[in-house]
Amino acid sequence: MRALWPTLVLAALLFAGWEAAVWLFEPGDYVLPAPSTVTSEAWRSKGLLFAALARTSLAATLGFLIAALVGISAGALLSLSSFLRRGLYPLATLLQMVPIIAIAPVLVIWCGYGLPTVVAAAAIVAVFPVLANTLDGIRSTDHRLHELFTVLRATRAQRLLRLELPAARPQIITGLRIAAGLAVIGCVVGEFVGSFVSDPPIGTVIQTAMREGRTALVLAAVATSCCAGFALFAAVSLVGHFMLRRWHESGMRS
Amino acid sequence: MSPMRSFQSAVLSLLAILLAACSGDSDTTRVRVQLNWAAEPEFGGFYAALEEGLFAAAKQEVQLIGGGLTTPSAQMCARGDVEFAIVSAEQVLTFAEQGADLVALFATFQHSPFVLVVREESPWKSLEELWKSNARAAVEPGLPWIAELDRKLGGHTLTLVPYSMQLAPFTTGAVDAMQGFISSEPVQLRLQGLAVRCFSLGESGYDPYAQVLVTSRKFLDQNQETVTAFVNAARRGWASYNAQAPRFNPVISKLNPAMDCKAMDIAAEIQLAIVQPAGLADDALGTMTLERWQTLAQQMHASSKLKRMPTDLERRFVNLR
Repeated sequence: MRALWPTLVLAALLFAGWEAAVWLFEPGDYVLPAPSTVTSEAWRSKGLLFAALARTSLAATLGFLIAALVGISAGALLSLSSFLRRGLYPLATLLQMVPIIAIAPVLVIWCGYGLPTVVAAAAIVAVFPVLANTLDGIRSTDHRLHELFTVLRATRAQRLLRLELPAARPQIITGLRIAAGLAVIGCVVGEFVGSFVSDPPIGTVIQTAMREGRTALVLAAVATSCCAGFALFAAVSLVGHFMLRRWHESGMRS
Repeated sequence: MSPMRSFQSAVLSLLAILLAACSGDSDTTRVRVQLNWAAEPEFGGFYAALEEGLFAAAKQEVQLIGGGLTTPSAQMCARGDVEFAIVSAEQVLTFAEQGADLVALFATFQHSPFVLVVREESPWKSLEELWKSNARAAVEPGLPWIAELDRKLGGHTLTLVPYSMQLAPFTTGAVDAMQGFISSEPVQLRLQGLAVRCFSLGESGYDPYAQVLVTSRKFLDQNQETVTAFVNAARRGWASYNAQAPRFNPVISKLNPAMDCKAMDIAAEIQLAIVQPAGLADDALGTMTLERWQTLAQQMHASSKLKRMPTDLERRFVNLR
């Protein structure tokens, strides 16, 4: 809790400034509602927002898990062969360049409406940081440990599973932390085109509120989606803490 | 003259030229109109007025700015970022609840152009049958007609998914029905070789002014003459467009290559019946009635799209002459 107080103080100052600015300049609720207006709108729409959060969280978590699985596996695979790495890594970077807002409508045609499209959008956006960090982590393994494994005549599989992947854990955790936030962003974009309107997730709530000029509800929905991102991020950080706390500087300090 | 003085005077001259170029003709008023869709026949009269020099004759330099599904036209106009915008009558009312004082000036369509498009061979014979089927329909989330149809027909059983401005989900069979303007999506689908049928939402009893030209109350109060001149020029533009749309469609098609002239000619012919219904004189184009606004407000309030029944509906629109 003590570590959180600078954040809490800064957040309180920011919200107080925002509230004061709205009171002073009166920009209109459809332009910039005060934090108090956003809070009361969120409370009034809590049923809608909670249901939307549940739908978005499910899709974001699935997308994140797929990105984690694919990213770590692909990173490990690329580390096994310099031919594969040189050939596939540049292609993998394309995943990072994909404008998800542009391909989301195509995902609908490929995957159909509902969860598949939304999960695919989340996974596409989130996979690259996991892959890149896994590969970097594996390639940064201490060369003295490699020499030890050579002396012990370890097989390639033993070297990967018992040395390189465990040694890459700090970087993998970093990649997963980045992916946690990205998965929620990809998910909301996927929801703009691929969700069911009658069971609105966060993306659909934002679209509807935007059309009706209910900016307070838009901001409340954005804050709700941030909660999903924070929850995923916190879960990854917690797992990372337990994995790293006994041997890595970052885990011991956190 | 010293080199420094020469340099200073050159810079000052350049600034003067730039300022003169930027300001243009001091008698001309610069006017921006934020559209809520790409250049299509649904805005034909505005483009016709531009092409015929009707705005220029009213000493107005008009810029029509294309938009899309997510363009915040109403917000931009209410904030004063643009002088005019095209929004729906529903948005005028929902934004009024949020404190945005928009005034409707001209209704492009006298009846709603909204339709649900289905394939010719589909089994549904009416909007009610479709609404109570297990079909999948692409619609724009948040459009009030969905809530109104639900209220009227006692909910829906069909699955609603977001409309993404693309025909592909319909042509590939990912959806069985899609929303559209009678003058746009069905025309383009037919030109692609698909036989389609349309269920009119206007004929179902929900018939708002689906597209209105708006300005902010502040701009209207401070620029009554400019606004009146603009509306009158636009009205004459619409009369010209209704009379000879194929003359103007090549200009519009250049701005929107996704819809060719042939499609625009067909669209203009189809929309004529709802832009200028039989008996509506040229000088009455775009006019609105309090009764229609009241009906809309009652329907939106009944379907919970409005928290309160507006008491100032006569302030939400004005018929300028």
